[in-house]
Amino acid sequence: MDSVLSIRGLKTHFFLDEGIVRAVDGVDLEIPRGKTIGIVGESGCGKSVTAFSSLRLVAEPGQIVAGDVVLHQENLDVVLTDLEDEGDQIRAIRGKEIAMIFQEPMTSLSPVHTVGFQIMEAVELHMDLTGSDAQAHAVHMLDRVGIPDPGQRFGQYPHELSGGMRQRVMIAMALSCQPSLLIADEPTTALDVTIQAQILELMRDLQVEFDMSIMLITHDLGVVAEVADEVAVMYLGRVVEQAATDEIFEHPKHPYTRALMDSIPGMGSVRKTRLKTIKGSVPDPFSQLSGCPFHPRCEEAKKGMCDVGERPELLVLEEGHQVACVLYHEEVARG
Amino acid sequence: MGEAKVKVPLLEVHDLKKHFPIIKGFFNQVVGHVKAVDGVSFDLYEGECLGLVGESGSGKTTVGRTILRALAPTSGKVLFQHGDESVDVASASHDVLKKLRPHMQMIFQDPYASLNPRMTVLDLVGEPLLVNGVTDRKEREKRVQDLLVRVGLKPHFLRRYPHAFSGGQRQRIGIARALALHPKLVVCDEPVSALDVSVQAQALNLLQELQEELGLTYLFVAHDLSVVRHISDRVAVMYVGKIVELSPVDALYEKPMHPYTEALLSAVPVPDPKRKKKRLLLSGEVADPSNAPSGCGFHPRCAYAQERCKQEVPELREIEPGHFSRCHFTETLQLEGQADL
Repeated sequence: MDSVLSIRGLKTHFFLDEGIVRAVDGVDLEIPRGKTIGIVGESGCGKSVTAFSSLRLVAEPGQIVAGDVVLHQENLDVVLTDLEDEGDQIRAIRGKEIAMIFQEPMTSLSPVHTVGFQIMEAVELHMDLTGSDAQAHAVHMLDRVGIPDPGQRFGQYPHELSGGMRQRVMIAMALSCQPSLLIADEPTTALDVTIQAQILELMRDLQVEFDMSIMLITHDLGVVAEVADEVAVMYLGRVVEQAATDEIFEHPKHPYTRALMDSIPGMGSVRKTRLKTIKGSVPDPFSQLSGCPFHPRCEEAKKGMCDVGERPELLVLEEGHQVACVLYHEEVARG
Repeated sequence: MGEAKVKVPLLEVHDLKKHFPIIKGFFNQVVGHVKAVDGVSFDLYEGECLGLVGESGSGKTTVGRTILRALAPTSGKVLFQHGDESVDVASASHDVLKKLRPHMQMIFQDPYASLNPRMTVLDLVGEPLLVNGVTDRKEREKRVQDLLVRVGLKPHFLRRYPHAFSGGQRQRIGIARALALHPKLVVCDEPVSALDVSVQAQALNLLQELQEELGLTYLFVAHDLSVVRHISDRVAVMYVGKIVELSPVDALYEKPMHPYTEALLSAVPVPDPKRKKKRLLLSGEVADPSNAPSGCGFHPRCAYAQERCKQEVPELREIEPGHFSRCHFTETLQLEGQADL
């Protein structure tokens, strides 16, 4: 598979006074070139930390303790995890090769600079453009993301824009240097459904135009079903299932993926009946469970199998469908 | 669903308005009004769940708060059936309100912000009991324990503080607190939107169980259309301070009558990749409630808008029994629903 980014055995731990939080604990992920991969999971599963680790944006007390993140460029591979934290090399990649859009546009834009200035800053840093050329490019980007009257908006501050417009500005900024990978961390979670539909449509159009890969982090399975080509489901710091979107929605293999899909109202559930639930909640981040970390909540867990030993590894069941579940290991072992 | 029950309106809302003044300048001049709720009327029947949906800024939360008189309405009536008499909550005196409040409670959106971090579960859930005359500590403890069990928490959690609980558990504490005084009406303001899907399902099931067992009446304010479909008997759709469509739940999703409802339903991403549906993209954004468009508030974004929509404000009309729409052209439009949402 032609990937733009390979994450192998990534572990990012946070060293707190109360103990170690293993936010990302052995993630393996290939981001296919020119496609959209959706990373799904509940809060605390490590999906955002995976993204931040890829960009080397993990702050103290967090630390990448193991694993590689490799960016595949045209004729060379850069191991991002080997680069210096604040060095020139990673800075040349952030924003240029890999750009990111965040969940809450209000808190991720500077309130004291105009949106135009903020877009120009990235453009002047990464593209060979200065002054009026950079400004023209920034206005062009604002226009491209569907902001009406971009010339005037260029001089406005984030607080003068609505939530949807701010997210468009974020997208304009992220795409201004034509990155090969866009990481979108819950890009539409703070938006209303009608605005969400607009932004998703825009991202789809721009993906084709700029020929970029998108890593879409979300908790909304509906969003993933609509825009992703491939889906990775995470639970407690690891990918537990990965497959093409159609495949995973039609034949979810991991009990967690199945339970997640069953607990959404409307997906075949009869109204006014009880929803299927996953018992308990995501365990305390300090705890370290033996065996499969999902076993206390899993309906199919078998005693003496799922609750002992190491975490199950990802197993390729069929071409392009990987699952980390003891039950399938058994099946395969039996032939 | 509704037909089987005796139709007694527990709550009648008539032309409810809530305008917030916009104050500017040194002399605090009022330069305009945000018309958050601008003429909302509906009945709420005993034992039903009415879903109230809309985008941010549509005024749905303000409706919930104004009904409970957490906010004083600008005008309008809120008639609450209390015993044999019907009391206007909107104009009730402080003393009357105090007697009414145990019967109408609220569940809040954010389980992190709505519980005081310095109070134990006993204090949090026991507070409404204490305020309403359960002064005996032993008895209060007993009742709080019962309530905790009722909402699926362990009774020995009594002396813990909110930080010791997960989001789902906190929401259960919020529910226990709302139910402490055996209310009839519970306004649920986005009760599950802060929760992860697996926990959200647990909370929704709990709300349904409680409704059946205790005969509660819910006003369920939410923006998630699939959640609303799951729990509601009837649904009201709000847009810029007004109800634009009100209908039994299935009719609304299968055969919407207002163009805004159609667009809203179409915008919801469905977790089924096979259904690559054609989407009606709404252009523009939700209108500004301080400067609402003339005529029909939705006309600048409406695909079917005509000249008349710019000038004439449409009325909420009953098109089919129980199905209301606020659109001049409801009868002539062929709108598409999303039956499998």
